[in-house]
Amino acid sequence: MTDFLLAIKSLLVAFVILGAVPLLVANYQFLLVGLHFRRLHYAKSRPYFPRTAILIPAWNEEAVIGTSIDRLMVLDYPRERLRIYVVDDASTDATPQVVLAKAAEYPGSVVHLRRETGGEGKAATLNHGLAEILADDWMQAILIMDSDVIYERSSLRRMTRHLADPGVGSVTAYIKEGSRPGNYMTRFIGYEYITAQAAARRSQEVLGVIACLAGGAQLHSRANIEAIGGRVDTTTLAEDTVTTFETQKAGRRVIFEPHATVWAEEPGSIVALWKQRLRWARGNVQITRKFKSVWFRRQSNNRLGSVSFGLLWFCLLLLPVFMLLASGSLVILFFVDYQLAWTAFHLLWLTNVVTYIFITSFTLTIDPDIGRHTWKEALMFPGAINVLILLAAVLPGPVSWVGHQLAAAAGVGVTLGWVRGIELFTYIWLSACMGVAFLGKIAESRRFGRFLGPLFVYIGGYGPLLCAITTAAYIKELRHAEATWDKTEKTGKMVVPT
Amino acid sequence: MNEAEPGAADPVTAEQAQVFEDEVGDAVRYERGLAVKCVGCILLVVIVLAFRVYFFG
Repeated sequence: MTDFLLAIKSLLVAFVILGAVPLLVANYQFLLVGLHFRRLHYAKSRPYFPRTAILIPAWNEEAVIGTSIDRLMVLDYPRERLRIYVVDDASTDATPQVVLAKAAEYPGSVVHLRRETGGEGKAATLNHGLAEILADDWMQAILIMDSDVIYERSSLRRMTRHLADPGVGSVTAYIKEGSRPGNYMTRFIGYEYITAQAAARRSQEVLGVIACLAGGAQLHSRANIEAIGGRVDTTTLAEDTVTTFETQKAGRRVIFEPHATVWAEEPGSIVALWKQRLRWARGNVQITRKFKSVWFRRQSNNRLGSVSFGLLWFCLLLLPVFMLLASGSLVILFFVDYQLAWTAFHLLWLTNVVTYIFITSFTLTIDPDIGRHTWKEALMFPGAINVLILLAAVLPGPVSWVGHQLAAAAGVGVTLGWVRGIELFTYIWLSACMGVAFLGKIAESRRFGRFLGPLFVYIGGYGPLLCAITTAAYIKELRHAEATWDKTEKTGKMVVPT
Repeated sequence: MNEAEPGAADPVTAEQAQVFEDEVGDAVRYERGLAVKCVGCILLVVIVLAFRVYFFG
C-alpha cells in the first residue's frame, strides 16, 4: 500500500513538473530570439523585383478593399511589375463595384475575378485565383494577402529580395495589429502578435523551420507554388500552415522578414476572437494529424522533424492539457500530502515567475512601438489573479502582510483554515482561470456585457482565454463538428503609419 | 535565363542598391540589438531571483 501511494505521489509530482515544460520551452524559444542575428538571410539576398501577382480573396469587403488596393498601388515597387487579382467570392455587397472602380483607376494593374457561386471558404477562393494567375506566364512571384491588410511602402521589396536566392520558396512579413485607438482586446492581440510573430518566427528561423506563413502576407516564388501543386489545401482550416509545411517538405526555405511590416485589423470582441481563433486552433489540430509522419522524425531536406520544433509545436497545442494535469495533480496532492503539494507548487511557480519576467520584458523591447501601446495588457496577459500569485511568489512577506491588513480591515481573522483554503484556491485557479476567461465570452453578449466581458478576461487572463479556445477546438475536432469558414468581420478602422 | 529570375543580374539602379545596403545594415544592427536586450532581460530575471532569495529565502 505504501509503495502504491508513493507511486501515485510520484506520478502526481511528475504531472506538476510536466506543467513547467511548456514554460521552459517558451523560455528556450525566447532565448533563440537573441540568436536570430546569426541566422539572417541577407547575405544571399539582393535588390530583386520579380513580376508579382497579388492575390486577394474577398467576400463582402466593401469597407476595406478600396483602401487596400490604393495602398498597394503606392508600394515602393516598380508599378509595371505589380498586378492585383481580387477574387470576389460572390460578394453580396458593393465589393465588385469598388474593385471595378479601382480597375478603371489603375488600368492594367487591378484584375477583378468573380466567383458566381461562393461560400466554399478562403482556400477555394484562393485556388480560383491561383488557376487564373498560373495560366499566364507573366507571374514570377505571388503574394497572397487578406483584403484588409495594409502593407507599409517598403514591405514588398523587403520580402522579394529574399527570393533572389533560388533556395527560398516563401517569405512572410511581420503582421501588426493596427486598430487605433482600439480597445482592450486589440491591445491584447497587439501584444500577443509580438510574441507569436516577431518573437516566435525569429526563433523558428534560428531553428531552420517556420511553423506558419502569416495568412495575410505570404510571398511565394512561382517555382514554389508550382512545386506544391499550384493550389492551396482545402481539407483543413489552416491552408496557410499546410502551404508552409509543404514548401519546407519540398526542400525550400521559408523566410520571416521581420522588417517588412504589414498592418491588420484584428477582432475587437471576445466573440469575434473566439470565432477566429477556434478556426486557427482547429486548423492546428488538423495539421498535427495531417503531418503525423513528420513529428520528431529526421527529414533529409528540412527541419520540420527536429526535436526543438516538435517541442515548440506540441507545447503550444497541448498547453491546456498541461495546465489541467498540473492543477488536478496539485489538488489531489493537497489532500494526500500537503507538504509535497506545496513544494511542487513552488517549483512550478518559480518557473512561472522566471518565464513571466523574461518573456514580458523581452517582448516589450522587441517591438517598443507596440510595447508602449500595449504594456498594461502585457502585464495582465496571465490574468489579474495569476499576476497576484506571481507577486506572492516573488514577495511572499509583503503580499502576506497586505493580505493580513485587508483581512483585519474587513474584520476577518486569518486562521490556518483560511490559509489552506487560499492555497487550495491557487492550485485550482491554475486551470480554473481558463473557465473564468471563457465566462467573458458568455457575458459579453448579455446584460452589462461591455463591462463584464473585459472584466472576466482581465481576471482570468488573455493567455488562459486562448487556452480555453484551444480546449474548445479539441472538443470540436473530437466531435467531428462541421468545419466552416467563419470570416472575421472587418470595418476598415485602422490607422497605419504613412 | 529570364531577366528577372533569381540569380539573373537584374538591372538595379544605384539608388535601389543604396536603399538595400542601408536597410540591411539597419536590420542587422536591430537584430544584434535584440541579443543585447535578451541578455538585459536575463539579468533582470537574475536580479529578481537574487532579491527573492536574499530577502525571503
